Amino acid sequence: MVDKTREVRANQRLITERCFAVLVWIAGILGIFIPLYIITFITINGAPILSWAFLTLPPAGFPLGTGGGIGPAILGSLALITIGLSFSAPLSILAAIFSSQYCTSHNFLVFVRFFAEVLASVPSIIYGLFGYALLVVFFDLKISLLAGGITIAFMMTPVIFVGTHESFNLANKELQQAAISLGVSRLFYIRKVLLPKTLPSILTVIVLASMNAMGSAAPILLTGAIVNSIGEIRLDLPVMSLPSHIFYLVGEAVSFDHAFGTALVLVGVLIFGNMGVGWLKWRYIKNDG
Amino acid sequence: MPWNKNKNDVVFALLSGLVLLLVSGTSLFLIFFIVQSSFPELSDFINLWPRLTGESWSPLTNPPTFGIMHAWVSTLIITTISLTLAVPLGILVAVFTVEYAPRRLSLIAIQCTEILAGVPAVVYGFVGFVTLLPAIETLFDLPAGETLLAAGIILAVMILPYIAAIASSSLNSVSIETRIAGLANGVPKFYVLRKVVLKQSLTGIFAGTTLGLAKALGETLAVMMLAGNAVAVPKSVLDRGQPLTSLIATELGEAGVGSPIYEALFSAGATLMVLVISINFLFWKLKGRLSYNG
Amino acid sequence: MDKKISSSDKVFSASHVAPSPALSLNKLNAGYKERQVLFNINAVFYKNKITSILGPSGCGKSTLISVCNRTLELIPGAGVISGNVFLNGNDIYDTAASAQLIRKKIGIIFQHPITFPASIVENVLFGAVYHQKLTRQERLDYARHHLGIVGLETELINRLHEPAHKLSGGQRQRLCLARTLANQPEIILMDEPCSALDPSAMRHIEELIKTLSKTYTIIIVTHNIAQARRISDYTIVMTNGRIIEQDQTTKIFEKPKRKQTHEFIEGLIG
Repeated sequence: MVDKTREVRANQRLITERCFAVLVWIAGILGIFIPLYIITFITINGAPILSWAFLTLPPAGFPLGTGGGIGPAILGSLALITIGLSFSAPLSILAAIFSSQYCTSHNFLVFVRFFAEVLASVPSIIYGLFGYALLVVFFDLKISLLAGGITIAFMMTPVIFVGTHESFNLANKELQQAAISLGVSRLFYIRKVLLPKTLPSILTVIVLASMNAMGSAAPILLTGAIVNSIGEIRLDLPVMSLPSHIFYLVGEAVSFDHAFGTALVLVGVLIFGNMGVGWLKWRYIKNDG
Repeated sequence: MPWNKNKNDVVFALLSGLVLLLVSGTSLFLIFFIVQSSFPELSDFINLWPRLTGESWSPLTNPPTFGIMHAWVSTLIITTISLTLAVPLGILVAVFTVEYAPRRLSLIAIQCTEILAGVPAVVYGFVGFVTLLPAIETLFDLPAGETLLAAGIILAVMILPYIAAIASSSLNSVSIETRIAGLANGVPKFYVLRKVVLKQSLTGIFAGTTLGLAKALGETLAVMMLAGNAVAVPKSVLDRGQPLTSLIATELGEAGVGSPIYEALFSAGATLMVLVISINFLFWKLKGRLSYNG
Repeated sequence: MDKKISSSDKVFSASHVAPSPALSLNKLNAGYKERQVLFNINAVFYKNKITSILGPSGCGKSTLISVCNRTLELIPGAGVISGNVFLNGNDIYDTAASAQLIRKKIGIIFQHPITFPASIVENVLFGAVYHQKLTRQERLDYARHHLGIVGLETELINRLHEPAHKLSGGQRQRLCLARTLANQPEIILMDEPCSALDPSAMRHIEELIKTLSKTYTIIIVTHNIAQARRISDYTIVMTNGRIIEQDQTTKIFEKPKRKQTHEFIEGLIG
C-alpha cells in the first residue's frame, strides 16, 4: 500500500484530472458567458435609442441613418420573409408529402434527401449569386422585393423540405398502418391525420427557416436591398431590411447608436422566434405523451 | 398495401409529384447554372488554373487581371483560425454540458449556445467591429484592427454552437451501461471519459467539425466586416484579406454580365460550392456511421 | 462486527460448518429513485465458493449483486438506503471507503458483454494499466496470460490487436471476464452472464466459473434453476426483494425449508 511509485502515479493522475476539469469548466463558463455578453452588450447599447418613433419612422439625417428610425427596414424584412414563405412553404411541403407518401423508389428518396441536405448547407452567398444572375439580370427583375423574396424562397425550400419530410416520416411510422386498416384514402389520411398531427413541427420548421432567412443579409444585399426607402412596399422596388441596414450603418460608419438599436430589434425578434419554437416543440411533446 | 383509391387522390399524387420534380429540377439547375456561368465555353476550363493561382486581382488595370489567390489564402487562413479555436472549445463545452456540469447549469449552457446559433451573422460582424477590432489594435499595435485574425475569432464563436451541439449529442449517445462497465473496473470517471466515452464519440466529433468547416467556408458578412477587404495576398494572420465570399459580395454589383470579372466571381462561387458540397458529403457519410454505432 | 456475521449465519442448518465469509450483507435496504427494491437483506457469501442467487425476474437479483461492489449507485437516482455490506470485516459503504478500490477488489460481469472501442489486448488491460505499472512487454504478456485463463489466447492468437467488437457474443463475455480478472479482484460478481449466449458458449462459461472458484469467490445471479444446481455451492432464493431461503445448494434443492422455495424450484412461480 505504501508503495512510493504508486503514490507518485496517483498524484500525477490527480493533477491531470484536475487540470482537465479546470479546462472543462473554463470552456463551459465561456460557453455561457459569450452569448450572454453579446446579448447584454447589444441590449445595453441598443436600448436607449429604442422608441416608437425609431421602430416606425424611415431613416433620416445626413448622412442618412443618423436620424429617424428603421420602420421601412422592419416592413421590408417582413415583406421579404412573406414572399419567401409564400413561394417555398407550399412547394416544399407538397414535395415532402409526395416523397413521404407516394414515392416508392428508395434510391430516389435517398438521393432527394441527400440533395436537399446539401442545398440546405450551401452558403447563402451562393444563393445570392444565383438570384442576382438569374432573377435580377436574366429575368430583368432588377434589385427588387420580388427578386429578394424569391432568392429567400430558394434558400428556405430545402430547409423546410428536410424538416417536414422528417416529421411526416415519423408520423407515418405510427399512423399509416392504422389508417390503411381503417380503409380510408391516402388523401383523407393526409388531410385529416397527417397534417393536423404534424402541424406543430411544420410550424417549427417554418419559423426556423424564417429566422434563418431574416438574419441573412448577404443574398439580400445582392438581390433586393437598398440603403434607403420611404417605406413603400412594392414588388418591383427594392426594400430595406434589418440586417442589410446594420451592414450599411456599420460599413459606412454612419451611426453605431442606430446600428445597436437595429441589432437589438433583430436579435430580439430572432430570440422570440426561437422561444416560440421551443414552446411549439414542448407542446408537440406534451400532445404526444 | 391496399389504400382506398379515389380520383382526387390520383390528382393530388400527380400534383405533389410534379412539385417535387419542379423543386428538385430548379435546385439542380442552380448548381448547373453556377458552374456553367463560370465557364461559358468549355475551353474556359483552361482559365481555371491561372485564375486560381493568379496573385493579382486588378480589374481596372490594362490588361485587367483576375487572380483569386488572395481570396483562397484568406479563406484558408480564416477557416484554420476559427477551427483551431472552435473545435477544442466546442468539444470542451460538450464535455461540460454532458459530463461535468450539474443538471441545471448544463441546461443553461445548452440554452446559451442555442442563442449563439440564433444570432445573425451581421450582428456578429457588428459586435466584432466594436469590441474585437479596438482590442486587436491595442494588443498588436496596429493602425487598424481589421485582420484575418479578427475575422477568424468571430467565425470561431459563430461555428462553436454547431460543433458543441453535435459533439454533445454523440457524447450523449454513449450508453450508461457502457459507462458503468468502464467504472466497474475500479477506475475514475475521467479515465472512462478519456479511454471510452471520447473515443467512442470520435466519429461524431469529427462530423461536427466538418459541419463547422462548411459553415466557416460559406460565411460572408461577419467576415467581410472584419477582414478588411484587401486584395493583396495575405502573408500573416495580422494582414488584411478578402475571402472568397467577401470577394463575391463586394465585386458582384459592379460586374457586367458576361464580363471577365463576372466569370471570375462565378468561378469563385462554383469552387466554393463544390467544396461545401463535398464536405457535406463527408458529413453525410459520418452521420450514417454515427447512427449505426449508436 | 464478528457478531453481526455470526447472527446472519444462523440461517444455515446447525450441522453445517460454514467456511470463512468473504462478503456479508446486513439489514440492507436499497432501491431506485422512487421505488425500493431490496428489503432487509441479510446474506453471507463464502470464500472460494460459488453462490448463486435465484429468483423470478424483477425480484431484485441484479440490484442485490450491484450493491455488493457499489455499482448500483452509478445509476442516477439509485443507491443503498440503509444497511451495511462487509468485505473482510470493513463496511464498503463507510464514508472512508473508496468506491474505486472496492470496484477493483470486487469485479462484476454483466448480462450483455460490453467491450470498449479498442483492440482485444487493450480491452483486457483497461483496468490493469490503471491499477499497476506495466512495461510495454509486460503488458502483452499480462494480457495474454489473462486471455489464457478464459481460454481465448489460443483462439485469438492472431487477432490480439483487432478491435474487440468483432468478436462473437460468447467470446466477448469471456473477454469481459479476462478484463475483470486482470484487475486482480478477490470476488467476482456475475449478473446472468450466460443468458445472452447460446448453449455451447454457456457451457464454456460455466466450466470456467468452476475453475475460477478455486481462486476467487464467485456470486452469480441467474434465473436458470438448472444452472444454479449444476455449478453453485450455495444458493440464495429471492422473491419480491426479500430473501426467502439461503443454504447449501444440495439442501435447497433436496429439502427446502420453505414452501415458497419448493414451489419456485419446481417451476410453479416465476
